[in-house]
Amino acid sequence: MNNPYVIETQELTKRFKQFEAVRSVSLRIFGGQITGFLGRNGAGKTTTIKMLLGITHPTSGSGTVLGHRIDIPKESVEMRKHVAYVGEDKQLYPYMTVEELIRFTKSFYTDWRPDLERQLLKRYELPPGRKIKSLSKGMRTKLALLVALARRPALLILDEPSEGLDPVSVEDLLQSLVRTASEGTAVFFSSHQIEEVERIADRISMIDQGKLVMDFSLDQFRMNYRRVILGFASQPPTAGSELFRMAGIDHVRADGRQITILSSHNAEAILEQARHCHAVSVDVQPITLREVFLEKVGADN
Amino acid sequence: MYICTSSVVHSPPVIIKLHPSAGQPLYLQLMQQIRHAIETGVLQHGDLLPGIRTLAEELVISHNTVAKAYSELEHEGLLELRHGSGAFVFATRAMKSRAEKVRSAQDRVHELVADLRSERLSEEEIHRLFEAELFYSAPVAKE
Amino acid sequence: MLWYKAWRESRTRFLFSVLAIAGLCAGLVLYNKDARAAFADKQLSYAEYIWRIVYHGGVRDIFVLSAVVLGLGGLLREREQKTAGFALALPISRWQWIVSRAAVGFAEVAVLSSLPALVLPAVSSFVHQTYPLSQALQFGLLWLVCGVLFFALGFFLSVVLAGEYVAGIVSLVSLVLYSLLVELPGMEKFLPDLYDVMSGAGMPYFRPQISSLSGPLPLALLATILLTAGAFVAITSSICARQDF
Repeated sequence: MNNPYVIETQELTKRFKQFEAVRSVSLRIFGGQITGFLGRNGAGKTTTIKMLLGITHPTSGSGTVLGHRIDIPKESVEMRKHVAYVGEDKQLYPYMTVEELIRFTKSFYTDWRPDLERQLLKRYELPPGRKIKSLSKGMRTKLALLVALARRPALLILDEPSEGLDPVSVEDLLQSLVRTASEGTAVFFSSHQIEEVERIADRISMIDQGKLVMDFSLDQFRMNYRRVILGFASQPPTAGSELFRMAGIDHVRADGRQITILSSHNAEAILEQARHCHAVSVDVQPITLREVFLEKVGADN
Repeated sequence: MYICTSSVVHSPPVIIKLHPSAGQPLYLQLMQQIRHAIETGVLQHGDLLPGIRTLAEELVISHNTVAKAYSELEHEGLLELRHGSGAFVFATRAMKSRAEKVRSAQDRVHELVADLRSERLSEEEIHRLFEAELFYSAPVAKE
Repeated sequence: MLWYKAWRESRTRFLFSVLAIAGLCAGLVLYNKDARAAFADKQLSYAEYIWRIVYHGGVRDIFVLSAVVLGLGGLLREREQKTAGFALALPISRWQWIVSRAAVGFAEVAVLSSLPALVLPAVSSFVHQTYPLSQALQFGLLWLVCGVLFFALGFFLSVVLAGEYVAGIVSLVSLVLYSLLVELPGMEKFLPDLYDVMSGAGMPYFRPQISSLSGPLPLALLATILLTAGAFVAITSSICARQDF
């Protein structure tokens, strides 16, 4: 498999009656990395992930996961042999015991890791004989994580994995993701817990209202993404101004005589141009992922 | 071998604290902190830093970050990566740590003062000799 | 392990049905004297009694109900329970999901259909009566084939109707409607009466005078019924393949 992308989609779209949950999403997710998939609730993360796994069928567009077409059922089944998934529904068969569920899941895969199974069972403190219906939500989540992590898949997809977990367990989860990734599994996880994603992800894809709004490496982001705050004494430049045509401008917000520009790169040149446009105060600041996220998915200007 | 849990900690010989929100790539922060540790003598020539996977799990950051930091530091000649064993600190003479300088200076001062004392110079006289030297000699360019 | 799961998920319904059918058959045999006396209009022979009450009566209706109910469940129910994501992420095709559940269901229907044959001749000897095994086996075959179709209908509804209990309710209502419809005069031209196929009532292979099956069983009809059941399963599978979860 020579495709460097573990996930690649072309204009993936999903329409439910009148509502477009996913709009022309073209993802490119690299192997050998941890990629965070950020977005608000209802932004389209879950629907996108379900389309990748063949749980939901795309309305239009196409994609491949591990080189297998997502819209061809035979290929999708083949692909799922090498993919582990933890969904947003942390519900498992209530009538099975912990042990039975593990045995059930294990039977479908050849990449099972009995050593990890034992370790995680102990670490998560899951009683093997307990029926799933009497497990707390946190323990069910851990069980769902266990059956995904006790393998060596080529790709691990998680949808809000830390939901319902206490902080110690979240830390443990992040550590497990790091370990899994360092052993060669590509990790693709969606979250709206930005701080968690910021710690371990190599790349971020951000989705809002069904559209992909950002796709970048965190290193590049930290190095180049800046908030440029400009103050003007008189009328600030209008929409047609030279300033706003500069390369690297990702987002502009105007508050009276203050203009805030989020620039993905080229901050210095933008500053220069701003001075040209008679800005009386200029300030360049680093910006956190959370702040960018809020700017981009907040009210549009 | 077993996987590190957060309660059984295999600490590197250095405390690393990274700030994901600080506007600087994590690998650069990691490099800076390791470099600083080498410069101040906390990490010394021959010390072994944990392997990429181990450090990544310990710090809960992507292994790519650790790999990039180690790789860059290896380029700078500060680390020597041994496959499977970790990374050996390589502090050359040119990069001698401040602490080592101070320590070696301290040894020499000790010897000089011992010599001067053996020639029956008083503490007061030795003190004044040093002061005069520092006050009147050409100031050394601040590093 | 898919088959095991299908079994686990239908186990309770199945065991209840086994208890109901086997229990009723045994009870009706053991208390046949009192029950026959209750038929005030005429003196029933043992064979006619068994036919009236088991193969043409309540036990048959319970069997049909059980077959339909065994068809319920499946992926739509998993969607309600929020386990569909987990299930569908397994490296299993939609077809495999369908086949495993259908196969286990067919096996369960087969067992249920054979219960009267297992119970009636054996228990009859306890009350100094005889019920020929060959009769019971032939009825069993009729029940098996028709039962499989009823199962397929419940199975089909379970895939097209969302909602935990909707499929169940619609199945039951449809069953009632069907049993009423086929009784209407003139309906036999449009709607085959499976109830009569199972009991032989009005059929050329049944002799009402001795309440027994005689003559060759309608193999062509049975084959058609089986094929229809198979067609329902195939249609169900293709519907399921297109569904979003």
